[in-house]
Amino acid sequence: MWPPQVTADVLFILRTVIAMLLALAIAFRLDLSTPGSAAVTVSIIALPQVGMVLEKSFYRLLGTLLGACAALFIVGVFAQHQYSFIVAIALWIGICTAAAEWFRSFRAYGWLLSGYTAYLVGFAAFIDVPHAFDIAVDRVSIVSVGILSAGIVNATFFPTRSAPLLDERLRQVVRDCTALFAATTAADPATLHRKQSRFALDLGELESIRRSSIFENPISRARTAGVLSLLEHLTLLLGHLQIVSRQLDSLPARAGEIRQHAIAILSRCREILLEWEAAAVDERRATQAVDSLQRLLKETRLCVPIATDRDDNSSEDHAAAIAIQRLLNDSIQQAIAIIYSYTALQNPNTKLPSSRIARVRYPSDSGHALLSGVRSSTVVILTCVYWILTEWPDGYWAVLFAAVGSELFAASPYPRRDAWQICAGGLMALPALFLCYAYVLPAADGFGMLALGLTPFIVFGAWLMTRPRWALEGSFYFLIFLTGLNLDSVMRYDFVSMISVGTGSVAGLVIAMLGLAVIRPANLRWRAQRTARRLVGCLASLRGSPTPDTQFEFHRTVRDWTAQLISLSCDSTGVARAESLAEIVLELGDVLMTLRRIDSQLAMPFRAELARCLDETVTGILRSDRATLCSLDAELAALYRRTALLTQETESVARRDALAHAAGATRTLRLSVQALVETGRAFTEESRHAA
Amino acid sequence: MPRELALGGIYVPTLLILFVAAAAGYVVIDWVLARVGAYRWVWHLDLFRLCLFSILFAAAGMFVYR
Repeated sequence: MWPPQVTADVLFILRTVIAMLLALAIAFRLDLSTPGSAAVTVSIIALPQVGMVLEKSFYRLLGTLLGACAALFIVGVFAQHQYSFIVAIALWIGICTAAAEWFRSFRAYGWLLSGYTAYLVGFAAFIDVPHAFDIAVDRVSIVSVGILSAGIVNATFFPTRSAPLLDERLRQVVRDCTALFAATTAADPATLHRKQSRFALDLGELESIRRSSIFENPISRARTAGVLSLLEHLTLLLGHLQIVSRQLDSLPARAGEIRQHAIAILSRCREILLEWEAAAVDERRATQAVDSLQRLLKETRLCVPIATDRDDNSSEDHAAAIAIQRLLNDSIQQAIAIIYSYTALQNPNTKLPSSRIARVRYPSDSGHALLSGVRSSTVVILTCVYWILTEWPDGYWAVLFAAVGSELFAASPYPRRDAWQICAGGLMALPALFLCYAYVLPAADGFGMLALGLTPFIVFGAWLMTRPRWALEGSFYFLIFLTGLNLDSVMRYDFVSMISVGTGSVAGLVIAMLGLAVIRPANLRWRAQRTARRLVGCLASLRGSPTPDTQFEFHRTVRDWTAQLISLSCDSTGVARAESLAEIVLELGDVLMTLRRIDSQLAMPFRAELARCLDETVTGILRSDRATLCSLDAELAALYRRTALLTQETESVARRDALAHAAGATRTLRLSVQALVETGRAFTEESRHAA
Repeated sequence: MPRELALGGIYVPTLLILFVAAAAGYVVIDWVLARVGAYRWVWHLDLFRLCLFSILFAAAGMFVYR
């Protein structure tokens, strides 16, 4: 038998061929103006899973509708003013580029598409104003035909669904939790960081599969709340374990007993999870595992007596023990929530406690989005003006590809590589175009013969798309091949137009690259530094009192900025630095949330002093100025000493507990600020070196 | 039923309106079928859902093209 991947690739190629031919057949039957564009739509939304195809189709349709409406509006307002019309279209493309940068995944794609749809419809409508509405309807119809064909074929012909993949990956990630506990207890930082990074990546992938699965069927849609809840707890567990490992590392050598006790608890938690996973995931097993974990929760309280009973007892050990106890507690609570969420997901009829689900928001760099928008608009305006003044015959295609290139390159960390890939795809399409023009099309008598003749060329393009490294080449191969063919019911064999598409598209891409190089070049280091600042800026959301969603939203945002920072890192050192910064920010956030939570249990005037100090800490960290951070260190040291002293002096047990927690958190806060100074220095030195 | 309807001065094919209406009806029926667990008894879920929509749209279209 063939390996599963080969079978999946063959099915993907088959689906793409059938969908493209179906789209062409419908477009010819409906007598649409450019039937090739329907096939281009199929090639653009050709993805391995049905959910992904439907999700991308949905946003493609929305983007096309929005772009067509925008084009009609602009033509309606500026039908008599050529330059105003160009500026308006360029502005719309700029807005769409900025929005594509702001949003994520296929939503970003929808915006990107909306930009160049406005150009495609707008220019055609500007030349033929009385038929503007028909042109817009024709474009929407072409895209709809492509979407319908791709959707129907992908959903019915040996579909590869996202839902089973989601189940498999969820099972894997839940299994990886035990590996994460094991890595936290092992004294091997390299393995620990590898496991944590892998886990974080898996969570990101799971989120994208979940989004796609929603579009598949109502059964998947009904499960999405459960999946979100599980992902939330997995994200929090990862964060807590990262902080625990940092705290264990920062323990002084004399506190070996506390470390051993914490490791014993983590190992026991791992064993319970292992036992639970090994058996069938049902309500009874879940309840047993949760009972064991709740017993373990009581044992975490032993951390503090260990610190207190020591002969060389110091307040610092006591504070560290309290901080570790709280973190172990939180980790076990998350493990319990994971067991409940996963069991409820696998057995929808179970009656297990459910938690509320926080809304997932994706952070974006507004400055970079704005810059990309301005760059796209400028590139389009300049190319249009050059096209009009010189009456450049390839101008139409050059502007189109300059707009597409500007939008695509703005989102990519490696625009030069993407430009080469696009050109390579175009170059591969040229011999196919000539072969088709010279031999296939003249012999194609009727749609059957045309389909037969086109099939080998479509198979080649679809095969390219199955190779992860050649996917972009495959997409642009289809774009140039099908656009260059200019298929119609009555073929014109316009070689000049075919060459015009080729030269215009290459010229457009070169212009887009020039725009990227000249208009405020956003190199990787510059973007990485901005992203690092945004990552630290997540702490700004912790200024006020924490709500039930604050913790997850904070962890989720930090995780997202970290993923962006890692994607912008050139080497393994950059990746390691990004991960280390993320851990520090997570730790700082965790401490700030803890202090805000126990704030109400403290008495005045210490409470006011703590609140002022926390505000100053957040402001100082956000300013990221070395001098401020150093003075902050001294202030936090003073606060810690005062808290420790107050803990000894206070008689009320409840208040003493709160003060002890505050002391533990303040100690961690100080250590984190020190670590931030070191990591911040590394980032600053690198940017200075780059400058 | 006329083959074209004027919406705000623009002639729109009646089939397009029926397509949207059929899609809305389909979403409701699809949700109900999933809710009552009817899809457990379906062999090819996507094919069934496609046919369901086709039946709804074709039935509505029969009013225009009789």
